[in-house]
Amino acid sequence: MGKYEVVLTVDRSMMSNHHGKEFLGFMATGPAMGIPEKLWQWLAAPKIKVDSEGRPVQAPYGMRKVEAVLIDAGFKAAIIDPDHLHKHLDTMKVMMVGHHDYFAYGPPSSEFWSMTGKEPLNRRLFIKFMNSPVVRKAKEKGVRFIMGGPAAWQWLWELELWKKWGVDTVIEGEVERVIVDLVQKALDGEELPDYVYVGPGDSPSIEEIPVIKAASVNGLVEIMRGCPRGCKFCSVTLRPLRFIPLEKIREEIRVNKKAGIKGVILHSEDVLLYGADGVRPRPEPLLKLHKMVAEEVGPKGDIAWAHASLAAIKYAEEEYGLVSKLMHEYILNEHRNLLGLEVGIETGSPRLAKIIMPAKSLPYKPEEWPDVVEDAFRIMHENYMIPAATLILGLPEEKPEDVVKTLELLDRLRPYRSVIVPMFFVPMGALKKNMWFMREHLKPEHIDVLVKCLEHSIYWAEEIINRFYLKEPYLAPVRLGIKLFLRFAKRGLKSLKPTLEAMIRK
Amino acid sequence: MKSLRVLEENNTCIILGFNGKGSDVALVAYNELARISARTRCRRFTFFIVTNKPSPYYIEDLRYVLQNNIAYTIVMRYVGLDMEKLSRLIDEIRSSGKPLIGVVESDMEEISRLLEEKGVQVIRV
Repeated sequence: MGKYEVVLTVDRSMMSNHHGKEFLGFMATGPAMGIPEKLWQWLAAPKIKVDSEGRPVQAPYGMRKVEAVLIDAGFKAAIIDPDHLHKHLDTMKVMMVGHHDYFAYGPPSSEFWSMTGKEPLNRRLFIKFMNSPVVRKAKEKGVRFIMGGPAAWQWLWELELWKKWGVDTVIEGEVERVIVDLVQKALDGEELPDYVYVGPGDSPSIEEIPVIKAASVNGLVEIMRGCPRGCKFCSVTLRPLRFIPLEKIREEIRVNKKAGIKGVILHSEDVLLYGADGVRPRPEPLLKLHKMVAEEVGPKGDIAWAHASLAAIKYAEEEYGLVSKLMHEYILNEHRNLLGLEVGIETGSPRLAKIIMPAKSLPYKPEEWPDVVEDAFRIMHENYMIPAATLILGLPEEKPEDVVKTLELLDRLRPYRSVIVPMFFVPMGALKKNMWFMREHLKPEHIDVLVKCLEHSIYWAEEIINRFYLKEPYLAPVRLGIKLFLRFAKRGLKSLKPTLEAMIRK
Repeated sequence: MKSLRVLEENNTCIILGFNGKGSDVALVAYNELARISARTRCRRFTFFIVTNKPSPYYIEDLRYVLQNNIAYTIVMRYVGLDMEKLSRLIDEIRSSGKPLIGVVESDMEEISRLLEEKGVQVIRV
């Protein structure tokens, strides 16, 4: 029945369009809270439409890139929904899986896990998928398993499962230049390496990055790779900075439109640095990009940014009025009343900012970091941009006074519409014993930050839901589910502080 | 063994031999790799793992190094303790003209001797 020898797939937590609302996908990084798991799963990751072969109408963007490379190289390859793998058991010789968070070791899954003591949904679904009869049958038949994606590193901590499931190769990094040969060797029955890390020197050029062949989840398209900030701990920054040409971006938007996706999520480590001069945004490329995107999606299509840096938001607005210009000329209209994006606060302490991320505040000084954050939040609030912001607690050189600075910054951010998610910097050894980590590393001032973030986020989430989000009539049940959860979270807020305090006293 | 195109072209091969002191061997190997890279500008390395630990459990010993590497391409291949396979592998690498060194735990003398007999420089750990 099937015809694909190379099948790319993943569990339901990733193979979903999250009701067309990317933020809902984050619910898959937590365990069910306050509502039954089945309902939680439906809210976070409903099933996606497929064709008769089980090919999903939308699939994760990274997998779409790999699929495109393999198809261009002449392989019979396709992304297949996990519920339809059985249709390809007879032909499948290689199964490739890509994931953002295989075992819930990434943020914010690990925080949810630590705080609730319950395995997050994404981990449970992935383990269930790998233990499923169809995947076991594939292994019995000699199908070779290649695991990749941004969370490939997590396999280094799950050697028992690696062995149990018969994983052949784990590959990390940008694979466009190298994956064809690895898959060919897998098909030829050649000896495969256990592990491959593709270093920055082997990153693909712009020409080697293909245009996706079928739609990505919620219309996500990549506009650049790499980052010029030069943070020493980050691999992204070592990779060459590449701006995807407008024509290629347009082609991908059209692939998505053809599949019926009306919106675009512009993906980059920092959207405002598209075509930038180092870390300084430039108006011309950004205006051209947004003009093209607005023309392509029309007045009714959604536009979102994956990530932007707070320093770039402040600089772009204060130097050129660029954020307002982009929002008012191209994004906001009677159908588009917000722009969602992710931003990183990480700390409110200038001292810690100077140590862990001296380049993050550029072109401003790390000493100015809290002001940069507040100014950027004000600019976003005034322009109907709704950030999901992250904070990192427990960094190796963190002192109690640094956390107090973060608390002070949270007070300053209270008036601005946003969701703030605290994350723990977790040494992996500690993560293996989650509750132990909470007891050993959680300090009273961390609890104050956790509670303050939750208060902030619940307050604004209610406002966002009531004024902006999930307004479409067909999303009424989703809206109801989210409201139920918010009610549960609000009730739980009162008991959170004493619960966490009891945990650290044990 | 057929090498991977791109990732194992113009690479340096490093044979890691360890039983009990894998993490020490991995650290020495990584320092050596950085030294070679600085000297030759080589950014691609293949580790051949000679150990009594089964695959993939040996990775536990190399995890620290692998997790901290963000600069180099690393391909990791398992050899085990199959001396015939190792001997063939050394011959293959030598005949391809690729640079090859060994970083071997000091009590794995048999491995070190084999490498040295075949003209491979060995760092004992």
